[in-house]
Amino acid sequence: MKKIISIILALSMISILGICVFAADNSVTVEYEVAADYTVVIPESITMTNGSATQTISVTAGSLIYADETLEITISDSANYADGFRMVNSKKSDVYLGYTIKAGDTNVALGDTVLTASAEEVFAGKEATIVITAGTPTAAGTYSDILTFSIGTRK
Amino acid sequence: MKRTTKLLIVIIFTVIMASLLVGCTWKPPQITLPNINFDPNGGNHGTPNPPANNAGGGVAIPGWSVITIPAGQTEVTVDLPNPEANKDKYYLSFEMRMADTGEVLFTTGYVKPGESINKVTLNRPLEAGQYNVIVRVQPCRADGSLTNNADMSTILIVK
Repeated sequence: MKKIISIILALSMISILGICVFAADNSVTVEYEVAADYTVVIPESITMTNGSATQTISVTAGSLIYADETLEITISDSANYADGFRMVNSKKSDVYLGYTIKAGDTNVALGDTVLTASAEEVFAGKEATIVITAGTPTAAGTYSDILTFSIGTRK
Repeated sequence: MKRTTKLLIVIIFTVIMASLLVGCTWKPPQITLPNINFDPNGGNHGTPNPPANNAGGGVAIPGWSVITIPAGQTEVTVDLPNPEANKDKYYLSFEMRMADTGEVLFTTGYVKPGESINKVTLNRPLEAGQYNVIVRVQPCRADGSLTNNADMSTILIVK
């Protein structure tokens, strides 16, 4: 009798070891909202030496855009534009000097993109270079133009 | 003491006293700044955008994917910074307009480098919603002359 009871007790203990214990689901959601903000550096003005200039457009390292977006910078406007980029003479407002903009070997037209960057490239910082070349002036003086750079992100 | 020596001492003393008088009262000429319209809400507020490196030249322009303002109000809190990298070079002004209609929502005065504008007055209160807007960032030099500028495409969330 004692043997039977001992065997029963041992089997009971062994069976308890096999019981699964289901714990309550205590998962926690962690969220961290990171704002997207960035800094871009654009050329101050069209400034040339000997009729040509190399200028840089850049997005600063450490800038942040959303992971699924691309940053784009285009030359969207020119104060004196008329069938091409023009600078105006400071002495006479109806005297102009045409100029071209190139990115590498490609001519840049109004509305063209001069820099694109993925979120990773924005964070690392990225630069683009443009070369500005003046045409043949017909009068002496200081010529200038004001460019507008359009900057934004797209998916 | 000889008369000549006495006279010499008096002359030297007079010159020294005259020099001290001029040195203590002379003021450098006042520098007149060009008439730059600084925004009254510009100052040291807000969190700066990533520090720019424009040591090689160029204007640092801040950008945002989203700007949030409250609905139904004209006086709203914003954060429009002029990066520290523009120090001693450029002031910035801001003008926000609707991307589709061109309606101007607000225009600020200029803000100094390292400072930001923390309040603007809208031309009209806006209803809650999401709007595509463009922020024209116009730099000017210390002499008031304008440089190239930037149009920042941004989402305006009104809630």
